[in-house]
Amino acid sequence: MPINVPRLIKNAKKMFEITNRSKTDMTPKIVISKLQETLESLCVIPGLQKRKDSLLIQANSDATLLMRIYIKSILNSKNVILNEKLNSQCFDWILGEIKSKFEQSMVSPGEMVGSIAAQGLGEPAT
Amino acid sequence: MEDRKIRNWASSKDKNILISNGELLCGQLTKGQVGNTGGGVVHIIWKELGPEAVKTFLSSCQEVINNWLVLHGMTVGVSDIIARENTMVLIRSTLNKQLKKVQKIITNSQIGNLKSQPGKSMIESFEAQVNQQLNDARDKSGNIALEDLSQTNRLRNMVQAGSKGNNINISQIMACVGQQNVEGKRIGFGFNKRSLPHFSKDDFGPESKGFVQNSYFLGLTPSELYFHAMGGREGLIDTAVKTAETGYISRRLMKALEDVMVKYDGSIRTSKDHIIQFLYGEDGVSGEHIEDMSIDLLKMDNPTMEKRYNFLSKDMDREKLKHYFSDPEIAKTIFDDPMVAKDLQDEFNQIIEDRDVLRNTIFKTST
Repeated sequence: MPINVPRLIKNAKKMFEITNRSKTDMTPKIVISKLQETLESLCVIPGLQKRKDSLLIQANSDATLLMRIYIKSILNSKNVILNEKLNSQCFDWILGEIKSKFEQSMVSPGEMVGSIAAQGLGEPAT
Repeated sequence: MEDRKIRNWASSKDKNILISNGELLCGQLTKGQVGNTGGGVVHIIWKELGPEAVKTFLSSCQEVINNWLVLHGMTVGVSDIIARENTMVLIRSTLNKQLKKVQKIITNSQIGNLKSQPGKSMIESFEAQVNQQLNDARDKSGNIALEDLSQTNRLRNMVQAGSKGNNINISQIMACVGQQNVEGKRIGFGFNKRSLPHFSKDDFGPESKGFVQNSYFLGLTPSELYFHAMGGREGLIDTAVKTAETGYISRRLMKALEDVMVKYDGSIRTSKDHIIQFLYGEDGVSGEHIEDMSIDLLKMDNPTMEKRYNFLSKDMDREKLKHYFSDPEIAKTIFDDPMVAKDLQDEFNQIIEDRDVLRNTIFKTST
């Protein structure tokens, strides 16, 4: 997958100086709703927001399903508050980073994926 | 920056790698970490710090290595491949033990006690059994030789760092070269009922069929050398034929796929706008960003999940909980406010549902 969430958390904790004794200013409810918002904004189809097509929405949620489950399994409220002890500033940074990293990891238009596939198939035979 | 398997801190062989703040704290860096593999140091630096940092990293590494090599020369010589005397005795006795097993199979088959395996003829199952034992002989003796090498052995270090060679090369040099094959079989009878005039007719034993008991260090007997040359020639021919063949395959692949590309709507199309895929790789992620990861959730059982994900689980300490929040009032609401409790329960149920999706849909193994 394109985002390594545990490493992201580790970096964030270092940046925001969060130790094991830090206290959080977030409620579980905030964690859940913020995460939900970020996960829903993950988008793999260009211009999805403009076209409210049910097939496109379905395709988008299928494509991001594994990513969303993975992030949810780590950034759930209990882990964020009791184990990682993130505060809201830090949590927002992580979510922002997840979103931007995800967008960055999309293939860019014009990528000659056919040639890449051909080389990928040909290489192990040599 | 990176840490793996911190759980097992004290590794006698220095196998755990820990890099913190750009400093290598323990472990041997090998090709697996610093080579061109996905998830290695180079890949992670690229992802975290960008291409410029990778450039600096590679240049600095090379500089350190160059200067190190000025002070400590690195070479491999005969002194690295000489095993201790008792190790040689051990290797010899392991080989003899395996050869005895082979002899037993041969005598068994001569008196008609050989049972053929399902789907194989008598000769095929005989060959399969003999090959099994001879491969065991090479592997076992090779492992004994590998254990003999010290931590400072230069050949071993070269293999472990991933520069050149592998464990089979070491065992061939020090313990036993092993079975020679031509056309996927042990050396065949090119003369009348025998492989070479040195042997009696109809000899199916290891020596006559091309098993090299000696190591490269000890030296091969004349017949062993001949068999080795036969196998070696076939290998040479194979590489010559293979390069031509794979080259042509690559060319055809490239010609067939050269016009496939990502269009602005994210779909994969040919130059005639025929759709190959609606979304690259069905998730739209480009390959260089992908890291291998393990998802703990997939293998988690219900009690562990309760412990990890459920705020409302029975073993939660209500008193302790308030220490986690800057506003202790929040802790109270978790258990007392029914609305909050509902949200938390919903979250937990969702994660359990996700786990079932992982198991039954995404990583489904059989139908």
